[in-house]
Amino acid sequence: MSPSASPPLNALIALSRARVPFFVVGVTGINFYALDASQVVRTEDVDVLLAPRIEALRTALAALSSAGFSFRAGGEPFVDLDDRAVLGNVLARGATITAEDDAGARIDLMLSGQGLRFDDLAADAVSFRLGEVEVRVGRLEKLLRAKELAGRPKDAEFLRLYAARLREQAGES
Amino acid sequence: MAGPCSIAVHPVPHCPSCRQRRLDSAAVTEDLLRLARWLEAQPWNRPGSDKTWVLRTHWSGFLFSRELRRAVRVAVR
Repeated sequence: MSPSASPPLNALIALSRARVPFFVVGVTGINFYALDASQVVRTEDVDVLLAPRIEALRTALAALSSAGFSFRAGGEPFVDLDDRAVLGNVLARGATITAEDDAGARIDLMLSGQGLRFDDLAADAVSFRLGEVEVRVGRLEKLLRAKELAGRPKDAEFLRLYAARLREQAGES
Repeated sequence: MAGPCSIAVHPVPHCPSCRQRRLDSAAVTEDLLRLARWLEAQPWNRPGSDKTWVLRTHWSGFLFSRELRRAVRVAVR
């Protein structure tokens, strides 16, 4: 598969076209603010935060399924794509469903996250384009705060290195 | 009790771990958030900018890493 045929790109376009309410968050969200490819931080998956509503989750699963993705939750295959009771349970637990395709692309469909509230991000998210479609990305400040709140050693290290890079980019080093 | 705690959910007032994490966070945050606001204000981050290249870069990096891992596995066999 050529790199230009990017399954994560196709996934976000599919979500947008299906009018799924979502924000790009996590390292991928942070990468949206990069100047160029040299500043894109490598990450294994793409995190999106869905609106905490059954219909949003159902529509997202249908859109990604049509785009060739299958799903896992809690390490198990997740196949109840249209079962409102099951989806309601996923929502109540604030669980994450991982969408994967045959090429190895991984999209984490999050319904909650430390420091990430859908309504809070909605207040000032930034709209960027992916070709013909628009996606909304959490404000950089909020995405960084969420990393801080996650509090894992790898997040602290990420923030330290990211700050050093930004300082250099801003000509402050 | 200084058990598992989280700044976001329930910071424990006298937990040394929490206090340390708060200090560490404060050190990172103030400077970093100022830089984040600077980055957001740059011309390439105007709302409506096309960011297709970010997802393409993400994917090509992912493919490269995967091939590298495979090559290393083969090499050590």
